[in-house]
Amino acid sequence: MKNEKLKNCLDDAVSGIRKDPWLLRKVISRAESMEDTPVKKKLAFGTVQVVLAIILLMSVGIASISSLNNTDSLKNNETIPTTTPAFSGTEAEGKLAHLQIGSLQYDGYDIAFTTILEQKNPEVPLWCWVEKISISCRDEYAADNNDNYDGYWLSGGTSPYSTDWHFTLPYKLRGAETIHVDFTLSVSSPVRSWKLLYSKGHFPEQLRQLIDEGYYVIPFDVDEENEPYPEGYFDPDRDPNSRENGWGVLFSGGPLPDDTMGNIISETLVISLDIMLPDDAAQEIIPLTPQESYENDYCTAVFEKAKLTSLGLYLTIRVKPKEGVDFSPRYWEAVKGENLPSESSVLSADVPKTKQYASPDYEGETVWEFWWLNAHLGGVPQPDTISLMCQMQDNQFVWFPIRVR
Amino acid sequence: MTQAVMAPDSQPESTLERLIEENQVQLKRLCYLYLHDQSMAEDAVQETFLKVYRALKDFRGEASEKTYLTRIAINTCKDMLRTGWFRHVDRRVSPEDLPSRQETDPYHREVAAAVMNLPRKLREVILLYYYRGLTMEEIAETLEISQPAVSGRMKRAREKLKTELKGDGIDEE
Repeated sequence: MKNEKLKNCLDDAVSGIRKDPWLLRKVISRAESMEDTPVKKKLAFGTVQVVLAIILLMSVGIASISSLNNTDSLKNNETIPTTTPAFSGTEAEGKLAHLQIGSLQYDGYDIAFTTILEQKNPEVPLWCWVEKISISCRDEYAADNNDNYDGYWLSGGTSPYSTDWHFTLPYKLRGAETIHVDFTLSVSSPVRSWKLLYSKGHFPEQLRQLIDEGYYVIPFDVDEENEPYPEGYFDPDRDPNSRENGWGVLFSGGPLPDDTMGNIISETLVISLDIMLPDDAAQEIIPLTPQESYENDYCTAVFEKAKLTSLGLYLTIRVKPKEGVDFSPRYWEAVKGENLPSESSVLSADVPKTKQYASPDYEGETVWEFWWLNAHLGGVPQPDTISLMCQMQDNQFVWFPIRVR
Repeated sequence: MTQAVMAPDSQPESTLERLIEENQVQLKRLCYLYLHDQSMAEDAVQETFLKVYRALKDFRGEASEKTYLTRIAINTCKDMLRTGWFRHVDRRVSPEDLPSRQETDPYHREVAAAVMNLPRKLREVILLYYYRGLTMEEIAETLEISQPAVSGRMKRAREKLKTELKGDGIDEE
């Protein structure tokens, strides 16, 4: 396949992605409002995330308790109640690292928790690879099945490293009294390490000497803020077409388990967590009431789910296109009122999770699921209505309004 | 053909409008092919043009437009992938998931899904070389790696695609 053929191929495959006529307006509007908006802090390696409502309970059988989430405020200083279920079995100790659960939330649908990893030897970088996460014996995540998972290096230092995890509880487990979570993390560390700040030159003799002395050479790259971070390892594959001296290629990835690159040690940390699910999980913060059904020039539609919980905004809509209509929206947004998306109308949210599939129960209908983490109706006045809206291929907008309260 | 070179700008809004008009669709598709998510791609492109707009007044005029925009877009995508939440979501793509038209060739979807399912570091060199049309030198500059590193990743990417597409890989041009 020639150069231009692959490009044409890719363009055809994603040809549903087209121009946004509002993009210029959105960019300028954001730029103008940015001077008044605090800059979001970028999380760097080794920085501890703010952990909210951390309660570690070590014994079984303690009733669930409520705690307050102090991130977002609603109208009249209302704070968002969350539920932290009682849980036990929260730590794993190894020679290379200490792993623990930092916080856990459950909203009746999804469970979210934070893991905190501390290195025992701060002078040496640590390679981390999540092997598996299972919930009540069902594998929710397995590294072998996830080609896009890279693993990551911790560059050393004393700051703990925290990671957020989020899973939708399998339907059959909702209503269960207890669930069991197994979290398996592999860590590897060089016995003697040497950090090499990235250079575009080739230096095989220096590398070979270091490796012969038992060092594990870890190349570091720099990000756009000139902060160094570990990149991976050198590939010793001597391809004469790709490099002159055999040691110039950088690959991201974990350590090689042999003496080619120096000595490493590995261990596996496992947390086995028992979580007692409360009956009164905070399911809805603010009631949302969609219409019984919707109809417009393009489709008829029904909301299968419209919930605002402590973890975010869940909307699931099932759509039946009108005859002859190709219902393929260019994009979806959740907005306050029935407005066009703007800095003030788009519901504030982090990365959204979306899913689209043919309805298993209604032939010819399509389901879109949306979940916006940390979407809240902050600000005064609180809107009477929010809408799920989409822009169609002909650039027209369609709104599906939902009454608030 | 000589590529347009960015220069310090006294009329940034007009320049932004032109850049958006000329590059929006391809950058959005590039971001989608990289991130596997249309909503995220929309955000990434908006973020990219926002960064470009804010930098226009101070730009020193050293880079070509294509390389400059691509570098910002790719770095924006990487920033999004670094968030703890996104790291742990399985983003494997099936041909049926792609935002195509009804008349799209099914084989094209298969090829696109194969490219999108490459490990990230291999995917980015393929997209930058074949889709964005950058040279090896420009890719090295964009990704801040050496040219041999680019060659190595390209070689591995082609091998993986050949396996995935059952023998019909991409020519080594």
